[in-house]
Amino acid sequence: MTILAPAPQPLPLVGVGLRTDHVPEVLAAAPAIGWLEVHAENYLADAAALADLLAIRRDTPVALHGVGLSLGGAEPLDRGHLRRLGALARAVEPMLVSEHLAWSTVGGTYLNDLLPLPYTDETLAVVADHVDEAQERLGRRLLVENPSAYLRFAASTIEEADFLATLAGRTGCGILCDVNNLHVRAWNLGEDAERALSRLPAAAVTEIHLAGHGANDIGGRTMLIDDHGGAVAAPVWALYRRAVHRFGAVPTLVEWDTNLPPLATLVAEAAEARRVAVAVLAGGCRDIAA
Amino acid sequence: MTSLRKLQMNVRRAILEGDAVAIAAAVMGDGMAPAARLQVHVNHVFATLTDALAVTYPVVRRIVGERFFAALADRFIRDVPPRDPRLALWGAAFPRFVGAAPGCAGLPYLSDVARLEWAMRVSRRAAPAVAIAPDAILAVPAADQPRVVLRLDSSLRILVSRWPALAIWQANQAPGEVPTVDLGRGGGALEIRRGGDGVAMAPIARVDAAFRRDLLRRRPLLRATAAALDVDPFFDLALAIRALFAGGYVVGLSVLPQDHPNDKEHPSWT
Repeated sequence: MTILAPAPQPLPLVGVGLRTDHVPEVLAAAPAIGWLEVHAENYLADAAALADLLAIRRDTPVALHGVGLSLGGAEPLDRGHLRRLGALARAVEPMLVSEHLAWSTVGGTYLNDLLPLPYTDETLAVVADHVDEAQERLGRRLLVENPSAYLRFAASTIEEADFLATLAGRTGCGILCDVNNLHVRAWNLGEDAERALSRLPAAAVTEIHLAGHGANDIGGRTMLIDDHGGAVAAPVWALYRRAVHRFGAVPTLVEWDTNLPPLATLVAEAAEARRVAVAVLAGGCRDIAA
Repeated sequence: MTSLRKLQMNVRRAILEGDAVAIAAAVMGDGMAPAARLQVHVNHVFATLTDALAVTYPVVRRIVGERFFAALADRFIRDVPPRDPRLALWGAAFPRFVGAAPGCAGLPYLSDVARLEWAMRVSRRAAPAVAIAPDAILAVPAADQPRVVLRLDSSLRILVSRWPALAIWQANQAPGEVPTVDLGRGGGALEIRRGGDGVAMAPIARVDAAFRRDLLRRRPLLRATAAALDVDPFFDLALAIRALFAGGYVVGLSVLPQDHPNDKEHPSWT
């Protein structure tokens, strides 16, 4: 008699965002990290940093996370930037390439921020064209991340999750679901993060980001700031449980950018994400309320 | 102009020119002043770009103080904002900017200290390269040797200043009170180059600076020699080349075709 064992659940790959200060430690010790993600722009004009990244890449999978393509820019994409991004991707052979649903360049100026977009049909057409072009030139699927938000435009007519769902349907791009950004946006704009999460197309979400945020008092109201400068907050962990339940064992990344702690802190937080994800995947819906 | 582009130009104006009137009308308040919401983005742009300058120019920042540096950065960001997302390339114009800034007139050496810090940054980011052996130059027929182009380690930078820029830089490394630097001792030529884990800086003779600077510009030996002889009529070419190979400076070698523009004595583009 044959006993059929239950199929093993796939385990989520957890990783950390690699920042310059941690590079020597990663190079020296190759710590046990499932994968690393880097900001692509830091390697487009720094040959020494790229040489280090290629050395790290030999031991650990690397994803490229762009912050400067300006997918939502009304002007044409910067072809030179796209070409350099393509060359970097060929050198690094990343496991994933992602960008943001945002803009940063207009009138020949790069504003070094992920600036918000009005969610309209006009914007959707612009972003879809740009995602098509980027995917064609990079020769690979692009993931597009939901950004954090501090304001919304009166002209917006489409909910962000629906905007991303239509974009994914139209272009075949994937979605990077940043659960901290969902929380920050919902808090700052009085929206419902769980509703947004439930409206994202599950099949298109192939990466999750986790990060901490800060809080500023502005005119007697608390504004959450997506500074990646602290531990993941409790409501964000709760959203993460829901995200894993909906999207399954997709790669998860822990990001820190300010108040950067020792690498071990990031690795421990990634391990915590893995424990949470494993519990959710093992327990089906039961753990969701936990 | 599309409505999206118009909106984005208005956001740019709000951030760089502090004029949020046009964009505020397009932003939902949601219980706050629209301008207060926009301010989060303004703060982010200025804080991150000021940080980027502070990382590149720590000594300039220490000399002028944190508050004045922030004011300089604020003006520089508005006047010379980044043109593309490679922030590593942004900030090259800062030395000239501080040289012309009215508030820095009492610090005539500041611009050269900034140039030194920029050179260190460029040096640190250069691609690692392997030095070649002197055999390569011996293999070139004697008649072609004047047209040899030596490719030098791309981390090498040369700085010529009338101020003691290196001494000023060094005086500003240790915490605590900054030792006095005698500005009257004058300047000279400096070589900046990656070495070990960091960047090494050392004074070099002006004649070597002239020779190596020409080589960095990919000029052939004949022209680089002429530049060196302008500085010192007793320049010893064989000694200079030997020093370059011995120091591991030479990472490549090619021979310029005859009549190449770089081979002319006074090319129009110099």
